[in-house]
Amino acid sequence: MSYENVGRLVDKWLNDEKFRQQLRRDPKETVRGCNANLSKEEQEMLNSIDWSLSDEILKTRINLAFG
Amino acid sequence: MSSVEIDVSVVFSSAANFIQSNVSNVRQRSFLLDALDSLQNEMSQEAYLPFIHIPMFIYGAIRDELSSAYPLAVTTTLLFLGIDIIDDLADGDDRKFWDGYSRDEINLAAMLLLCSLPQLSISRFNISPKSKNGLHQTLAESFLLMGSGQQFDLGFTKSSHVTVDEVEKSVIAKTGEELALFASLAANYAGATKKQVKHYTEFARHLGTAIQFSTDCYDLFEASYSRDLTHGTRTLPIVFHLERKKSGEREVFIRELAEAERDVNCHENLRMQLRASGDLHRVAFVIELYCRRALNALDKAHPKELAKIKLLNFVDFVSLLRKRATNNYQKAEETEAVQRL
Repeated sequence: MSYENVGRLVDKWLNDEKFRQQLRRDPKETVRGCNANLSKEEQEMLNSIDWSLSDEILKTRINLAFG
Repeated sequence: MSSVEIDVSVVFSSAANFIQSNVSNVRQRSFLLDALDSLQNEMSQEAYLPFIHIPMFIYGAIRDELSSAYPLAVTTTLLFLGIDIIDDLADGDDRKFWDGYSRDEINLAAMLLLCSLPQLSISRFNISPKSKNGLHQTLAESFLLMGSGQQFDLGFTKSSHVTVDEVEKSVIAKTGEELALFASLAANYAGATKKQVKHYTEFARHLGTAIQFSTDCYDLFEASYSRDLTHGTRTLPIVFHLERKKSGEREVFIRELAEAERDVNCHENLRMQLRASGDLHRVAFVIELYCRRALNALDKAHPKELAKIKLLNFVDFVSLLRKRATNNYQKAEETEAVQRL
């Protein structure tokens, strides 16, 4: 499975503060506006994500889930 | 369904009784009981035990009751224990309860847990001979797939050429297939239709894959000691990182990985590199994709409501990035943990 399309979006999310702010405000529109050539499944996945998550929360969730 | 709560201690004590009643060799019996005891202790703090909760909730999602699923959970627990021991042997992860036993004896015990005790348990299920036969066939076919996954895995250790695609296929064929096996046994045991069996199996395969990627992240980024770095295991975050490196940088990173196998003091440097390059986030998205696939498959299975909620909660537990709208307990625990950071 290629993660190129999702990977590009992840890179943008990691490196582009303006993009992160747009995602927090309106994730569906922002993802749609990306032209990232995402599959329906990838779109559904991205729409269910909590885009406000910080690194600390992410690490905590890893710990809580499989610590 | 009168209750959707599973008493895990009943599963473990039933499994212990099963071993006591059926393993005549004293030394083998002692090892197996110690192994089971060790597993129960290790898992005592876990909210969910996939090898018990997934098959039992799937049974409940079809039959709308759980009490008849305990013998099934005993079977899947024995299977899980056998697979766990085989994995530890392959990884060189010696366990405390192995002390005093040779590797040959441990191998033999694992063989009993995979090739004898579960089959004996299935033969005593209160279902038709045709259904029992179906379960045995499921077991055999699944072992072939898992064996293939393990074969891939053996070729990847310490490799500098493994791809993301290969790692993914290996994880699907190993942990994905393991949980798929438990789901398939549960669905068949519950008398599900062929379509339902297919959807529940897919649900579990996707969830098992997500769980493995999540466990690999924990090992790499959070555990005090990374077994994967010490063993040279090429997990998804590492392979993502390697694939994105330019030629010269790649060789440097591979040398650093080799050093980390010998020296645990090198682990933190590797973790910092992986974290800084965003590979944790990349894997988090892959986990999310597999959780989404699991949810889509579960939807198609039309599970009965109370067990469905439990299965959804399980996916929510595995997911790292999804909104936590309903799981207030976990939200509170999370907030508290972040405040402690």
